[in-house]
Amino acid sequence: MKRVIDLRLTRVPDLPLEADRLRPDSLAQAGLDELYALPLLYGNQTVAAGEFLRGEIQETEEGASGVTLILRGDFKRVKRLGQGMQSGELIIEGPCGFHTGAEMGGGRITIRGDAGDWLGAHMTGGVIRVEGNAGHWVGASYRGKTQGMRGGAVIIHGNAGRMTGTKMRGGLIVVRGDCLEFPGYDMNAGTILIAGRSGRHIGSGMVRGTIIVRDGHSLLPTFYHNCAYKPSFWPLLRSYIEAQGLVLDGWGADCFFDRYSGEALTGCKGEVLLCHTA
Amino acid sequence: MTVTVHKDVVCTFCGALCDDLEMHVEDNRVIDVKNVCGIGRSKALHGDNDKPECRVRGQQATLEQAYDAAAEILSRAKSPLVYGFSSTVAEANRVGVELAEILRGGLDNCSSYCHGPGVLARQHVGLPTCTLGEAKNRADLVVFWGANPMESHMRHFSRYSVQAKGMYTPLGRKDRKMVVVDVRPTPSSKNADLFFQVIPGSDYEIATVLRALVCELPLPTLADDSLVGGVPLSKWKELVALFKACKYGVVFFGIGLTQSQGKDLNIEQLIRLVGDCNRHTRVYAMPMRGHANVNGNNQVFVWQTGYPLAISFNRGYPRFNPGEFSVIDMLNRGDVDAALIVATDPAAHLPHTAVEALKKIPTIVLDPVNSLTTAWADVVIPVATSGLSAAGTYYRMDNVPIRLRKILDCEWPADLEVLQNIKERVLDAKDH
Repeated sequence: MKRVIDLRLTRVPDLPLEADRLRPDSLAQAGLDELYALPLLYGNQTVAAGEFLRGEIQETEEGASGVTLILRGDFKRVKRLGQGMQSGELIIEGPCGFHTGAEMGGGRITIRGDAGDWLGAHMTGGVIRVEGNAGHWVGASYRGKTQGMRGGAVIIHGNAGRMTGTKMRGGLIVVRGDCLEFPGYDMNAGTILIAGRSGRHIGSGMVRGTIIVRDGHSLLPTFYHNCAYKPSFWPLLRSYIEAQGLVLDGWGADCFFDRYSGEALTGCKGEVLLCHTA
Repeated sequence: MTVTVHKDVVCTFCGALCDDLEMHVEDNRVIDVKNVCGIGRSKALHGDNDKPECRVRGQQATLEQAYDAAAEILSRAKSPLVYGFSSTVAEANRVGVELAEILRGGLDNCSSYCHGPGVLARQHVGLPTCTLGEAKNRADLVVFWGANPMESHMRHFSRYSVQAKGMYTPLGRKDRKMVVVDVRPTPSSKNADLFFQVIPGSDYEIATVLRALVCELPLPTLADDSLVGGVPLSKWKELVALFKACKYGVVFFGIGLTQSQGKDLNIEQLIRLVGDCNRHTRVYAMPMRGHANVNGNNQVFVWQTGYPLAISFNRGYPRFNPGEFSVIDMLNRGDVDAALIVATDPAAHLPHTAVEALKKIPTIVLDPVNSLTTAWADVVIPVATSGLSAAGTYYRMDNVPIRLRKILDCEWPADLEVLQNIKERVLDAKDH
């Protein structure tokens, strides 16, 4: 049975609202009354979700089974939406706040607006798709932690901020637009693709992993040129990204890449690929 | 009238905490100070004058009325912020933390937009460091990176670093090499043996190249005349040779490094550079902390909450996230609905947008002197000046705690007493 929970924000909170209880997998059985009673953190007060949300639940036998949670409105001040979700689908029709999809292990989040900082931080699985821009620290680790994102994919149609994929340990981040400085900082593994312009200090401190960029003007001198080649994984990666609904203009299946290894200070096992033909 | 001479008084202006001041007091007023820099003298002579009026919403009030008003504002707030503490004693800091926890509010300090990035870097990579006494007695190489102590920590050179005569540096300046890295010539750089004028925002790249040179890694894209941060590579090689040749080097880093592009990552890379140098010789790093007790503030926050800055208690337990819970970001986003400001002047320090946000919410300020914030705050509580009319503990930039004495009498209570009074009233309000 397919369950669609369609909620709209009745008023934009004037203080930050933490809504980590709003995730599709934990609402598989909940009725509307139960849903409205969910506790959210509003400043330092616990409030019922019903104070901010109203909507309806539809259940149909058609289509694939599962729970889809649709949130409509300006959720910019609402933090932690879909945090830790393991399955189901979350669609946010508007912008959303910090920590959206952080620590998620599965399922799918679609954001039809801009996303706040720490999008998909520490995620281990699932897919996040952002149709607008994302903030800083996409798929990164929180301060004090040694590993950021470990699996899953974050597909950003717009731009991303600073520190994208900091201490990333696995998974994929794709930024169709530009990215600010320090992408892939202290990265351990995983793949980051930046199709637009990248900020300075790409991959600094990276131990392993792959960063694919269009221009490497700011590559640190501790990265060494290895060769120009056509990696066998590129057509596969490209078709996966296209399957997620993102077409990268100018990045054909036959792209050539300059391969740089680095960072020398941390063992030189990471790689930065500069696209030749983009 | 008798003049009383107080010796070995601690100066409470900057993080160097010079503790050899001689203060001459007559009629409960400091009339002269010896062994002090220009700023310290001004603070000592005038730090306990110009007290603000005790006010509640613009009207003169008694202390009791001000405590009641402060407690009412704070206990009603849904997202209060307790902020400041860089110029008050560690004991008051502790009560401030307790108050923030009771209020389930935010807690931050001035290092958030000052040396906080250095504190964050230390969490990730540690800090090989020493005391200022060791620097004075042993250092034969001192490097100032993004710091200008001649104007910010005026007695640092003579007491601790460049000119100080120590056990293994009996000739003072002649026994030391001095290096300055900065974006422009400064009074400090005029004294340097080597001065590197670098392009703003290039510190991370420079530290990376220096690390590669120290570790003797190849740099195939750079020739000797290639510019790194606006300085030829050959000059950086000279600095690396100095590092390797010294017996005891200390790198003092300032806000030029913590608040330029890269922020905490600049410091991480610098600390790693210092770590790399320790494969060859002894080298240490030390932040040039600004406000006198901003370091103590981090210390107290850490031993009370586990975190040095940008803390939120809104779930009842401490959470830490710079960018989310730091003072400027919270104010700019409008995440705060009341503020308690202790021993700092946000109207003078914070960006205009943050100050405007602060003006829109009820603000309580504790300040020993009239400031830009006391001019418009809803509740103004005058307090005794730490180190002059209030005793307590400050932490020097090298983490050494130093006890401050009370040498003047003051009609107003110390920060500690005020915070305790507000805390008791907030507890009463929460109980009922």
